[in-house]
Amino acid sequence: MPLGGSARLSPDAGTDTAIVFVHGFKGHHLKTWGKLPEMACADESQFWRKADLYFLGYEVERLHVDSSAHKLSEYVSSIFPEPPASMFERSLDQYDWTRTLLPRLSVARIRPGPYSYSKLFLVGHSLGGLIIRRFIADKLQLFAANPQIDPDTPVRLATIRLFAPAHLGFSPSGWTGVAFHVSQELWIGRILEAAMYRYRAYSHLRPNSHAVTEVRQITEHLASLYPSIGPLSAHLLWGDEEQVVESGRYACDLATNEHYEPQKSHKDICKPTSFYKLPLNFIELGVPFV
Amino acid sequence: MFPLSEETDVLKLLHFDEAYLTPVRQRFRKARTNRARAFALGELLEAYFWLALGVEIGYYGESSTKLLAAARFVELLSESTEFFGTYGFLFAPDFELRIQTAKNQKQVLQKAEDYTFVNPTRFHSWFQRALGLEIESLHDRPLTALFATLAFLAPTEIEALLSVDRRTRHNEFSTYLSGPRLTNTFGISMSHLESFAVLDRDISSHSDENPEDSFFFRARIRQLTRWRLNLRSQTVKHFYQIIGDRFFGSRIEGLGLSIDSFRDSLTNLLNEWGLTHESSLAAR
Repeated sequence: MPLGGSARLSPDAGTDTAIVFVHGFKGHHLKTWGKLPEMACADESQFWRKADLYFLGYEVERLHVDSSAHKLSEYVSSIFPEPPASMFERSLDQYDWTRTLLPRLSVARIRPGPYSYSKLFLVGHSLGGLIIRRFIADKLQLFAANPQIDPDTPVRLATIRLFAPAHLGFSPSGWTGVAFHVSQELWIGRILEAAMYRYRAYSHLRPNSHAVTEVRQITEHLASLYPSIGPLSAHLLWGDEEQVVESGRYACDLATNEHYEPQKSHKDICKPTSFYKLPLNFIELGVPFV
Repeated sequence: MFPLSEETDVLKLLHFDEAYLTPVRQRFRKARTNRARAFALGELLEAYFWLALGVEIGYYGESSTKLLAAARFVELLSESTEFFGTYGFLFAPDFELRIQTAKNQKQVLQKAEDYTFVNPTRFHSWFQRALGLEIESLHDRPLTALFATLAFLAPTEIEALLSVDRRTRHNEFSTYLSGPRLTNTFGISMSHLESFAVLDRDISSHSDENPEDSFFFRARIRQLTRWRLNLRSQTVKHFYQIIGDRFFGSRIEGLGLSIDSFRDSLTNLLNEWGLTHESSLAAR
């Protein structure tokens, strides 16, 4: 994998979509999403069958949004629209234990090439949402000096789906013992969520902090310059029991593209189960169709 | 769809080789003490049985897997007698028997013979998830250091580590290890345990089709993963709880959860997933 993280690559020859998942503060590139990777891979619908899933792995201990956005930029550039062929095929003459397979089997491939994507989805949770918005703003701001010309960047093709994003800042509040009165299945999640409150680093990303307000201002300004560019407007999914980040949307996000799901908390909102398939539908179709 | 079976098989094994065997073999080669070497050998043993289980359920093809196994487990097989003599108590009892059988019969891979799965294909995604969790944990240096420290250091050495507030070099399992770092890693270890508990629940809740298949598959996964945090060991149990209390004190206290409730819930989690291999077949 380029730059760390992991991927679930589809064997379907018609694969045309790259979905990049960006986890949040103290999150984990796979565990953040619960069963989403395996449910998505098992889903036989056209959308999921023809999608490669990329889970960005990055260190967020110090909450440097700019550097994380830069890392996301490098990551996306390395896979979209042309991912490296080496991700999909291996020449078997370079490994000691596969040489006996030669010449009958000289290359092992996940699917036949060429490998390219026409669609890009950026999916973020919590801090990952803010990082995605910073990344989009950085990419499009380069063109803002000459707004008459459409930005020539592959990122303009992106579709943005954000679960409980920290795009308005972290605002941990309302944590009480009642929050721990949950099933054993949710208990560890609540414990770890509570432990996160103790990180002083949150103060850098309070609602009125520079890092948070700047992303919003730039994004809204760019959206006024480029109203037809999709990735400046996000679809947002929140849990009704949100207690970690400030909920709400940017001026460029449509009210119809925002949804609050009952009985879901900050950590649960993006984790599908056999009874809660909303995350998969949300990624594929956006809010109006869920 | 593109016909891929052998290619897919080789790619999956290449991934296993790179993600699991390569770092573990590096740890083995770099080990400077007997304990560090033994821990890495334990990880190699676990890797051997992941491949065996993968073949057993048809996730890996047998012929390709034998090629990989023949190239990677020379040290494990040659040092296994001495290893089991000292650390055999950490592992499922049939591991030693199967390794010995493989050596006696000059087989590369020894599958379990106590049960044959009726419909093993349905376990592939769970196998992949469990293996992914385990690979994650062995790439996590602090977590690996916590497990190795609890399993291989003497109680006095662990006490000494816990009393150190700053970084120290006193431990062969980590360049820098200290009490606060062990405490920080406790949260990761809880998350790791819970991931396996959730997996176990998921498999259990889909066991209507063939309960015996499900039962044996869950037992196999437990055998593979529980040695790293072996709560049958009194040292591990004792210090894991002490570190848990410290984690509570530094991260949870004051948020409305009492330490008794924390301990009770942690005990529930450990009882659910933290049982050792010996009790795994009898559990539920």
